[in-house]
Amino acid sequence: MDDPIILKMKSYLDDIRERRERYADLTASSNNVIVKPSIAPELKKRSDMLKQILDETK
Amino acid sequence: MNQDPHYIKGMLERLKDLDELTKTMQEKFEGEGSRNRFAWLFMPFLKALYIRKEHTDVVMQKILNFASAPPVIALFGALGFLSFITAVESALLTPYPYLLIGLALYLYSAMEIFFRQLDFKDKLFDLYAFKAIHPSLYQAFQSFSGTAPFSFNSLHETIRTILEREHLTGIEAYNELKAVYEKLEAITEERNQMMNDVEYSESNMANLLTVYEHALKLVQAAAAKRVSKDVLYLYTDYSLFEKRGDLLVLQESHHTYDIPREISLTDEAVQHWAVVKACHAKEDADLIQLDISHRLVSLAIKIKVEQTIYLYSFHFAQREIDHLIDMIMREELHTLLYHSILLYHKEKEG
Repeated sequence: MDDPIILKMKSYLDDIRERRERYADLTASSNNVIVKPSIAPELKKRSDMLKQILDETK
Repeated sequence: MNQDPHYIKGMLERLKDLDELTKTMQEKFEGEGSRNRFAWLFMPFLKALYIRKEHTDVVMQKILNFASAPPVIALFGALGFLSFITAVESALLTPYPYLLIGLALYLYSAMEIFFRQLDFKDKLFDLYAFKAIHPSLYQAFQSFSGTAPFSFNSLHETIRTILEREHLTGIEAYNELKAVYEKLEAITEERNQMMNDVEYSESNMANLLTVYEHALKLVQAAAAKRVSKDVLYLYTDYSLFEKRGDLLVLQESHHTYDIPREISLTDEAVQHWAVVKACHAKEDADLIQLDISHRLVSLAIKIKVEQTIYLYSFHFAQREIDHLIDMIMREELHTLLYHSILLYHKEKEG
């Protein structure tokens, strides 16, 4: 059917779908490069250990 | 620097111990010029006569301490001396054993004092004695004296300062990282929510568009007075039954050739069929029924148009169920279905 409203809406929908899929791909690839939060607990653990050593060797 | 915490802890503890030694050595080095260079050689013989031993917990040492104490030495010496001049000589036998014991105890005491002169922790410690007996160690400790004397304590403090700074930097970095991760988590959650919203809106819009498109076709068919069974086609193959007494009579269908033209509502064998279950429905919630058989899905909807009861069934493969159920179970589609059947019904009624 050549109804202009339908064509316009279909084009709009295709655009949304394409952008959503592109964004999902981008998110998946960015998740791989973001530093994992595991480094933070390691830092805390080491700092706590240092504090304990400092307290014990005053 | 070795990062092992056990190593760091051990190092700090030993540095504290070592500093006691260096401090003593520094004090002794400072007073080096005012002391007699050879006093350590003869002073033990003099000190043996008046210096008491240090107390210890060892029993044997206590006995020796007592035996070599100045009063005891003096007593034995006196006994030896007295034995020369008194009349009790015969009673006390000869004086020599006493003199020998007294001399032995005296020598033991002098030797003990001599070795105490080499013990840096002892108050009798003598630098010249240490220098003569341990020349290489003396040379090594000389570096601790001078205008800017080295101190293990200052090294201990320096390392502690470095570690404290590392500790504070670590905590600071941890707090900053934690804040960043918390923010990141919040943003990620927000992003996921938005993605869900977009997907939901997209799906809704796609369905509304399909409904709109089909509704337009209905209007065009009505306007052109060319209403046919085509208006009944929505997404999938279908069948349309009309209820007549205890029978369901097939009116129209699309690629559903194995479906009987008539179904008896009282037939026990067909009671599990979606179309029959929907027909028996009394409540609104039961108007839509599902039946899966041989990997084929039948989803039947009971619709009353004027006084006629119709049963419309969607037929599709089981693998498509997730996708199609989402599209079919929508209010706007049911409304459209009603109007499609209404148009078909009007056309049939003439």
